[in-house]
Amino acid sequence: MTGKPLILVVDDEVQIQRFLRHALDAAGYRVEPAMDAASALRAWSVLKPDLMILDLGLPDMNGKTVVGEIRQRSDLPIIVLSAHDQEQEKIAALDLGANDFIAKPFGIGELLARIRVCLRGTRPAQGAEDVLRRGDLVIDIPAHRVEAAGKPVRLTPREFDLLVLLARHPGRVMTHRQILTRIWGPAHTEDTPYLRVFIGQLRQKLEANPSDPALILTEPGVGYRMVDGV
Amino acid sequence: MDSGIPRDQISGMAGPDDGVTFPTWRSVPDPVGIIAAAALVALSILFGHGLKATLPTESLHLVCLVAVLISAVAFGFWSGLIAAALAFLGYNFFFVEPLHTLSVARPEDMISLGAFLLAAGLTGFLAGRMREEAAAARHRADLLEAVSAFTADLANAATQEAIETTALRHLARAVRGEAVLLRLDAAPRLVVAETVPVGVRLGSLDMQIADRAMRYGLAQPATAPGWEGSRFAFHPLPPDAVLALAAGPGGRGHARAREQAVASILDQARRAIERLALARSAAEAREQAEREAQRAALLASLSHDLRTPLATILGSVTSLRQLDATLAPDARADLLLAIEEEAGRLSRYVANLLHMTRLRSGLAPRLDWIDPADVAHAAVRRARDAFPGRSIMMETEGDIPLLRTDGMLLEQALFNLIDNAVKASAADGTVRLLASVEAGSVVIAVTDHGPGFPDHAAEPRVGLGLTICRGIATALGGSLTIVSPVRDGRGTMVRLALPIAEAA
Repeated sequence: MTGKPLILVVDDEVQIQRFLRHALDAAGYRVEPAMDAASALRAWSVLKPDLMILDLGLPDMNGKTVVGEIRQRSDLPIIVLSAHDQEQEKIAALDLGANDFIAKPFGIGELLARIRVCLRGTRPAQGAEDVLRRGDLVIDIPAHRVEAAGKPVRLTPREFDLLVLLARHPGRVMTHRQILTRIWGPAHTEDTPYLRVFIGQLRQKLEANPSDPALILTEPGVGYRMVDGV
Repeated sequence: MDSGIPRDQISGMAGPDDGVTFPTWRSVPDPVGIIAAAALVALSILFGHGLKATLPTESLHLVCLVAVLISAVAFGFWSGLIAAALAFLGYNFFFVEPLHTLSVARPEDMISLGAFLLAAGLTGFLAGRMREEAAAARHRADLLEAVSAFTADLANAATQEAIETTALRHLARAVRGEAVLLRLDAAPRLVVAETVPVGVRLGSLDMQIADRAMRYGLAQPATAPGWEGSRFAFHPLPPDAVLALAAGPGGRGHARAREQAVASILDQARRAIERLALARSAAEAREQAEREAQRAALLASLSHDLRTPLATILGSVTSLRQLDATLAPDARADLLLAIEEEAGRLSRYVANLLHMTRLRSGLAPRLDWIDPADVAHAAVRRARDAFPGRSIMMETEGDIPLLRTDGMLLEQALFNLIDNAVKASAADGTVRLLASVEAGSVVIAVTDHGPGFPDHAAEPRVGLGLTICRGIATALGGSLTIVSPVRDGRGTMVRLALPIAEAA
């Protein structure tokens, strides 16, 4: 085992495979290409990659099916490559457990940032800390206390839970459904208006300029993302 | 207005109040029937007179009963009753003592005469009734046959016009009279479209009533003679026709059965027209859905075909800029090559899109006499430039005639087919073009030995190129067919067929 993480790139477009191979190699990763879902699943079980980049428009299998298959047996980080006409499929893949997405066409910097977030997310200590620090935001979970820029902020229990959920996954998109299920329960998976109201309140209390949020970002139609490394 | 048709027939035709099964009971006895009854009775008495020597007098009344029976069966109820009365008088006069008087001497003769009168009356009544029932049954069978003949003919009527004229013919037969079909013209105004028999005229009052039937969608019954109105009954046949019916002097009475037959034929005709309209709107909806699906597929393939080169270019450029320090020299060269290739691909898509727009916006192809083999060679040359190092072969089979077609569109279609074939093939695979003449068409087949069209694809993607080829083929009056796999489970052959113009 070398120190370089192995990335399984699943895309049926030769040209995409071609530039990703060069770019990921230069960024310090090992790359294994797969042209369709069947060979991707084979490569996954044999090579045990550290991360998978999965195009949703594969010729032989629905991207959702691939995510579902893998999530049954593994926490392998999955970044979904999606097109603008695959919104629904993208959201479904995220709800099924894909870690993040990136829309085609994309700059390599954006993809590398997502890869870094996902690879870091697999470190065991993640999510178990008692005090979360995100820039000038300090969240003391056992004490239910939040400080922004050194000043204490009063949050309702729901707002607090929501903030903790987002802060535990910095840089990662959380879908509406994921957030609603975790905070409000499985009966409220469609109640996105609740979520919008609470996110608005959080931004009012935490953001320097609530109308131009820099902490909690909106992924239109998908969900929310707390900025990484503020 | 007076057509000489008895009043009970016309009102019976359309009036719902006429429920009598045997209307002849009420009718005046037929003069022919009366004369015939008298003649038959006279004949039987003459005959009886001749037999008087050989038969006992008591048997002679049987001969008279035969006359009553024949009268009733042949001429109906009234004739039978009159024959019975005459036979009674005649029998009394000629055969009962004292002869040649209407008086009766012996009391037993009185009883015998009474029995005779009863028997004669009953015979006449029953036989007459049987005759009329038989006639009614015959008439009903006739109407039933008319209805079933209409049903059979209706199966062959494929258009609304055909349904209407079929109904007209069969209705005329059912009412044994005249039938007129009126249709709305462009104005829209009702005009006579067809009549059975040919040449039936409608007056202005008739037209007014027809118009009312059309406007309110309600049947207008015929009016009895002597009253202001029409001898026709008018039945609307939506959406744009009215049928006018006048019962003929044929079948006397039996109004109820006739009315039912007319209603049944009209009902069937209306349903058939409705079914036709439903089928038409279903076909339209299907066509619409197909067009929508085609558009969606085109949009999907369009965005896919444009996105892939864009993603490659953007990804390669950002990699070159941001990872410059760590990129190996050959990786850098390959990224630059990828950018160049994909930019070329994009520019070809844009050219294709322009052709597509031209076809979609309904611009007519620029027709000219061209040599298809020559155009194919041009497409091959262009493809060899676009894909250096790939093997693209062109052959012709037999004499390829000139075609009157659009050379530029044809070249674009062939280039697209070669482009697809090159993409589907391995780097060392050969793409073959073969031009030949088949069944009145010039066929240019482009074959590759790639993996073929996957028939289990989760999302079958027909590229923009192929969609445009199909559009071009259609615009040029030809067709595009795909054969896959070609051999050993691999390869795709796309055949573009263009019809050879008729030598004028």
